[in-house]
Amino acid sequence: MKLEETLFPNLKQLEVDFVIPRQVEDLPLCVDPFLLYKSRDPELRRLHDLVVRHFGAGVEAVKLGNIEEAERILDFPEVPEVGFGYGSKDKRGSGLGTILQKLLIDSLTMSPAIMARGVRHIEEMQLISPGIGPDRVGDIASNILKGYLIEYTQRQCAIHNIPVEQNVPLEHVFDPDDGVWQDGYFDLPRNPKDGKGVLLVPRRMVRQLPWINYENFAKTEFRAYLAAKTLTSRSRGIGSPSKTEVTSISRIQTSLIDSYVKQRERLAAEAQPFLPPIRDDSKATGEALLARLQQIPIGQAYATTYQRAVLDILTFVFCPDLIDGRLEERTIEGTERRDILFTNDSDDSFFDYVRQTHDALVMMFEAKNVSELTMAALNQSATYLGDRIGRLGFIVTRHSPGENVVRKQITIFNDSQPRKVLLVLTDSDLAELVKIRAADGAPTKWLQRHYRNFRTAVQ
Amino acid sequence: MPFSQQEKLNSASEALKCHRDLGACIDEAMRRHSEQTSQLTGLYEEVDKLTKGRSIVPTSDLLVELSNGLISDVKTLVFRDTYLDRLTTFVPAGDNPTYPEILITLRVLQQSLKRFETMLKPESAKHSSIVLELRAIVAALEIAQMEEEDTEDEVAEDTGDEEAEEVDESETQDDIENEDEEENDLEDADEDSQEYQVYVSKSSVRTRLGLESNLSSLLGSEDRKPYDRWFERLQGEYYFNFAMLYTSGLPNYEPPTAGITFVKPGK
Repeated sequence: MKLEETLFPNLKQLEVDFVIPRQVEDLPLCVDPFLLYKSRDPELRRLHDLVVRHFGAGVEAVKLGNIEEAERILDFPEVPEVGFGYGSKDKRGSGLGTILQKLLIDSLTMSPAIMARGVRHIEEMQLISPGIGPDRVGDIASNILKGYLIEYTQRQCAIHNIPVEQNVPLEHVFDPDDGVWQDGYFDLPRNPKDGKGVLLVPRRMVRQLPWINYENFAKTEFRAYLAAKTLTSRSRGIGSPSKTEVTSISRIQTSLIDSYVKQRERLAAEAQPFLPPIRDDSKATGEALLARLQQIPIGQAYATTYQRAVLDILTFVFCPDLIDGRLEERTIEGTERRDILFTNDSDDSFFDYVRQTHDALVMMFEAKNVSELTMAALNQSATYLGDRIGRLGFIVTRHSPGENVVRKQITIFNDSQPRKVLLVLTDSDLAELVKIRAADGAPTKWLQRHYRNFRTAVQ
Repeated sequence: MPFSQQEKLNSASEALKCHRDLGACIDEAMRRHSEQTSQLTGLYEEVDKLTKGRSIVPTSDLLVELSNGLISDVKTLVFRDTYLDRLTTFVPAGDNPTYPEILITLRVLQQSLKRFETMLKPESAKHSSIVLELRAIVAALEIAQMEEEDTEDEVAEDTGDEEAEEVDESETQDDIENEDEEENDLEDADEDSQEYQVYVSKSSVRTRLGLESNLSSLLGSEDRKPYDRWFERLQGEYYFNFAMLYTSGLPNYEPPTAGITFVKPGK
């Protein structure tokens, strides 16, 4: 039975920013630190720094011969609350555990070259230690990121009205300020099957295999190395080298690791998050979202409902290009206003363009559940655009705007320096985007055309 | 006494000044047209070569920038061209246009510049012709002004001089009769235009035009002169037709009021 069928009965995978874990079985996914490394979101990059710094402290302890400290730092048990893993059928996998922890320390000890060089990506440990696989990389990251995942889970639960329980115990949470592991109690959803807390993981940081992984290394950089050394399997008359053989060489020849990592960094744009196999569900999810939208009456009384629906639709359409959709409420002159903010973490050319041109690392979508968009609403939205949330914003509303609003949009553009672009998305635009997404099309291209049409009209 | 046709001279001088400004505008348009055509021809040829076999390859930022620059430039030169008006600069928004898209756009620009040239050349000739007419009118009026002032001076000098003119005894009776006939012709002419007593010959106008500036190329051949219509033949000589100036008014050049033009509409 899937977790979403019980704990999150009203949520579908494609309309939320996080991976919905299953109740019993692990999902064959892992948290890939490389997705944090390549992210445009400063918060995610900071998390990558945290992971590398933490691991680096462990390496340093090994280097200094302080094994006890190294064992304390490099202690990465499995994180069943996340529900990711490859091997075990339930959530009680082995984690790195004591044995693998020892293996990790031994591998570092046997590789003075790595200790001298330091670790730039924790995934590199797969390349020097036969016992470290992709799931272990995910475990290391999940352990260190647990504090962030707690906050993220609480935020997503608030957005999606997911019930949480108070004081759910959680072990082994890393405190970056004090550099210690701590146990604690947190407000989290609870898995009814095993009674454990649930940690939600953003889809943006999840892959089936880490971008830097042993299989890929062996097939590319290491194979080229063997070819150069005329040590191919054909010339030696034996099969491919084992992981033990490969790691024993790469532990010494760290230039192999350097070269491989550089190559993977160059191809960073191709490193995309992976979604669980739910493609068949996209049409149904899209139809359900549109039906939900159509049922919302126009008017201030339903503003929150409309805003929620818009958030889910935009997540369905644009995630993982636009991530971490969140609601921001504020009161201005007695009027309660609600914005939807997304982080633009896309590698797509259009989103990259707006990030460069309009400083649109954050993208604002303001939901207006009104029959007619007013100039005042436009003016107010335009004032929000600026250094904090960039200079590209969207007003999402029920009907197409009048000619006066279009003229106002152009005036806002012309009168601003740097230029501000405020575009309007209507219900029918959302419907079109949903249909494109449901058919596995490219909604970003639609948005690009929409933007171009406006910029052309301004000429 | 002030010059009797001072008002006309002022109007003609003002009209000439306005038309000279317009002339500068036309000259500028021709210069820019020439530059843009040159740039466009070169760019089109290169893009045409690059396009072969690259139908779906996005173009470079440089090419987009050059093309957008040309679109903007042509749009500030050519006005009221329906097909050019439909053309907009590329908004790459992350994805540059393909080579064929750029090529077609450059072709549209080429066609627009050709249409512009077809309009501009005759308009320029028309404008030059009107300017020449105005110059001739101003020259005629200025000569008239000088003659009128000279006549006033002579009248002032003659007052009190009672010495009768002596008749040249060598003149025959026939000569006297002929002179009388010619005087009668001029008197007839004067009767048609009582107010216009000054006679300004075409040759004096031509001389003045030639003197005040190097207009020999603009004055045209002996057979075709744009200002000929302003002169009428009297006694075997052409004189400026002041009456026509009062009946027809000053000639005026207007840029095209429909279709492609070189003046920004509403300006």
